[in-house]
Amino acid sequence: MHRNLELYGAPLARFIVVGVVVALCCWGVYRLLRRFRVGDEAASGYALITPWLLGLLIFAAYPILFSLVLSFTRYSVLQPPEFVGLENYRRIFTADPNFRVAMKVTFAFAALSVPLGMVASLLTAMLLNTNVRLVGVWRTIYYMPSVLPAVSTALLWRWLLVPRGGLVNKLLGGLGLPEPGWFNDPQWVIPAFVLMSLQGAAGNNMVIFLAALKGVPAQLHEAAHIDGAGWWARFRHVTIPQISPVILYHLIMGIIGSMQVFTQPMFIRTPGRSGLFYSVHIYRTGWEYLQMGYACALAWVLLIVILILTCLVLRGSRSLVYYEAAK
Amino acid sequence: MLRVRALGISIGGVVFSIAFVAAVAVCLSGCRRQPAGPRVTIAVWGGAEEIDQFRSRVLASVRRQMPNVSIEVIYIPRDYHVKLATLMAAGQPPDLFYLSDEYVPQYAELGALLDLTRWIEGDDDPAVDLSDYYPSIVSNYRWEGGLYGLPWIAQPVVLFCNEQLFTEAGVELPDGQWRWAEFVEAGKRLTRDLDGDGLPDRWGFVINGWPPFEMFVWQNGGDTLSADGKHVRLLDPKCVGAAQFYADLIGEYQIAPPLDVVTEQGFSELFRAGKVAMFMGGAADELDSVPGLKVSVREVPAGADGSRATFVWNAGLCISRGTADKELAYRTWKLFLDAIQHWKIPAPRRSLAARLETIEPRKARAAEVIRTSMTYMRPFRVIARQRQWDTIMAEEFEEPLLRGAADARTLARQASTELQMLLR
Amino acid sequence: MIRSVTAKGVIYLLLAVGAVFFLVPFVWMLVTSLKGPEQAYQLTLGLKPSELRWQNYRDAWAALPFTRFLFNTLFITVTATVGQVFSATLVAYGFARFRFPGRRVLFVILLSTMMIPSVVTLVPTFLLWRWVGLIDTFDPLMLGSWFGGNAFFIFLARQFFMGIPVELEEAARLEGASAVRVYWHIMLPLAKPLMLAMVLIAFVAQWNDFLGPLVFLNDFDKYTMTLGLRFFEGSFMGEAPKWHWMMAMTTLMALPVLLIFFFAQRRFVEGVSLTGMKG
Repeated sequence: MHRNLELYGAPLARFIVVGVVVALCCWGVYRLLRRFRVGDEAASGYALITPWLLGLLIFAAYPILFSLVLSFTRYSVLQPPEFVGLENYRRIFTADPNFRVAMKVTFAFAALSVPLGMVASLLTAMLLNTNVRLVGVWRTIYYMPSVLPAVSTALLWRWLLVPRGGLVNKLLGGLGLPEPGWFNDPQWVIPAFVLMSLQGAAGNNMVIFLAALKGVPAQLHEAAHIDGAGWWARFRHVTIPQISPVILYHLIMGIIGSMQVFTQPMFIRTPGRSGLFYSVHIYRTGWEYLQMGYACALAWVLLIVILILTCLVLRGSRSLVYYEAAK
Repeated sequence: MLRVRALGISIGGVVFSIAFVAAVAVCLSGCRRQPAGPRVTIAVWGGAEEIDQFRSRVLASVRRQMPNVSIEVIYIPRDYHVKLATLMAAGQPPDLFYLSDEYVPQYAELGALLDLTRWIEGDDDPAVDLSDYYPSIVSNYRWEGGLYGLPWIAQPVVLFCNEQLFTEAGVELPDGQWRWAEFVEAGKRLTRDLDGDGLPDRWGFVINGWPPFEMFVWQNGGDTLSADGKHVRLLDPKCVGAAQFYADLIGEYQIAPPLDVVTEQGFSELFRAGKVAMFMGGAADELDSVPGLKVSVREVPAGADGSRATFVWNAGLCISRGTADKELAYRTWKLFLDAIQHWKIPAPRRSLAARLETIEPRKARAAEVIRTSMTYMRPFRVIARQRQWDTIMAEEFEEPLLRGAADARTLARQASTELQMLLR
Repeated sequence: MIRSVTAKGVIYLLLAVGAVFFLVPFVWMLVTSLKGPEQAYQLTLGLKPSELRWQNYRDAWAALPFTRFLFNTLFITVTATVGQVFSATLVAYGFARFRFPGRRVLFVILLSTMMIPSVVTLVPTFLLWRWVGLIDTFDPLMLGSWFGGNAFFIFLARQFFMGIPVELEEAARLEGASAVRVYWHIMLPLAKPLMLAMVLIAFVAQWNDFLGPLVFLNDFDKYTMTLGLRFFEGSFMGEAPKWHWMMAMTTLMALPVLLIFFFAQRRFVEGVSLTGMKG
């Protein structure tokens, strides 16, 4: 009994306490700001984002800044870091062929999987938004793969895409189509990973799109329909704008996620370096070769790249995304 | 007005809950008893069954012999080194931990391991009697004059032969005199196309990067790395010749299936399913007790000129440099070492290897062969940057070689330059 | 509304074809979990009904203390999900509706925190928790959830909130309701579909998390189901990994989540109807 209290009671107590403390901080921030004559709106805004700010300062700032500092050191994890200046970055850009390969592979993967994934999940969500019979069952079926841990799906696809005798190629062969070498063929490695990602993308993203589609007011559709708009026109002028915030979300999350894909490439052996994804490269350098400083430098380069891409997307989206209450 | 009142109520409620919860938390933390007295932590890897056996055969025995010490085990299912390194980075390393010999130089160089030389020197406990250990494997636990651990297993590679397939093909089982030529010859006769579709259904042998091609290099009288560990010898004709022989098993002699088939049907699964006649596996592998198969264990073939060599995989137990009570850690280490050596087979000690039949009756038939193999077994010569070495070797040399992308000499040239850079 | 029969037919067809694609993982898992250890690796999907080994489920469960693991996993998952959903929506509301200096910059920072792979932040994060002495407890896996949890939930909720018309809130604010009351009484109910989606996704993420428990937990009794599962991957004495047990446990782990989804998705239908607002 004691043991159970210790195992569960204590963390639970701490959990509740922390929750309460965070709530108090929010309130405290609000009062504090008001005392300094900050307007109600700004004060409320800050108060509301206090949990995240606290989290940022406590849990994110330290590790992230630490990794930045580490990127200028040689750090073997088992020994204290030693400062080496820009050495790591120099090595990335001049002396590491794996860096270029990993960037290319990851970029190619992202360029394919993000748009395809978005289209696939949107289409799926639309299909599942209709009032077909047993829609609940259909939706659950489509959601199934995303429930599985990444390891299982990696195993599964490794098995499915076996060149000779794998289910996919048996199917293709049966239809008279060419049977690619998938994970054994350097040309087909990236498409194989993209294919694998589609299944997962459909799951979670579909759920979100579904929620968004449900949020489109029915009268807008009806009004457009009354005005004589056909299905496609309605889609383009009602649905898309209404769910555009969520589309933006998926685009950015897709970029961030696909550039960092890790578990599946770790699990699946590919010829040479055709499947060397960037985060695998980071993992190897950091944890296998114990060159954590260099790994941090690699990570920061990735961060900058993703950041630039994201800012570009955000900048471009301003004119395209329709926020109902654009401020 | 609305706000203040609402907040007013909630403040009271909040204060109350905090007080209550804090009281509870204090109460609970007071209840948590830190085990007083000496503690030793040990980190191990293993699958589900292994943990069970570890508990019953090793842990129980050690605990019995050290009743006043609290021994805590950290079972790490995967990503062993991530967890280990993280614990070390945080200054909370386990006192004892498993480490396979490939990692010892890396960790020793980084100062994570305790040098056991002076502890072992005066100690006449049989568990640390260095003369009882096979010298070839202890060498990897030495680094720059220190000794950083001892192995608890030494698995030489042996040849598992499916007797039935041999009989069906009319081939004699290996007689202990086989060299490469006889091996290939037998392999060819054991590779048969039973259903006439042009593709073999029974194979003589199977490789997929295992067994390590270095084993064949040694049998050929060469080595990939020079004795002083400073020069890559991959381009030596003996090396290249052996590597080419290895690749030819699939390509030229066709006694082993192409990699695609292995991916499709599994590696050891092919042997278990009775589709492959000869398999090179670790001595402890239970391939000779697969239900439905009659399997004999033989020595691996010798090189063309008769040199015998076989690869040995081993892992050991090390003590962390940062451990608080070194004396206690050392004593516990010895107990664990001995207990594990009486559990996992084959043990790296001659005295225990001599009693292989008693320790593990299931291996009684194979015991002689295993013992003989242990006399000429060799581990890799390990360097501090072993992980990078392994990656380059696998990606730039072995994989393309087995796929038939290029011949051994061309690949060796490329890989050599990269590997040499690791030795600077 | 689908008017024509052909349109409906096409939809059913597409659904069916897609469903096959999406069912494959589950079917494969189920089939593998019912095989014997020797056949688990083989490519044949075919299984004779007489050879179904339902006892794999029992054996796998008994091989390790999965009841304890289950409880641990539930404990962590439920608390973390609750914390994440509430704090993420709260923060997102702040970002979505309130103007305050530095809002854009902070938002970009929010996004940036997601762009660093966890492999490099692992060590400092571990050091942090060690500093408060909470290694080998459940806390590192639970406490972070009050701070907005994963930035991705905040981002998601913000996008969602920004798509909701302001009229309702403005009415409430004019009456003097505080931000928190508006949040609680108006935004959350409006965002029900989103909340459900978030609960689901947060639950699944926590339920399947492997690296967190691996790194922060030392005590075997505290292990979660994902850790337990991975023990089946080890090969011992040259035996193949216990794929059949691993698949059995993976299937079991997937079931509760699927059930939650099945019942939650009906709520999506009832979802948001903003018709009342525009009247």
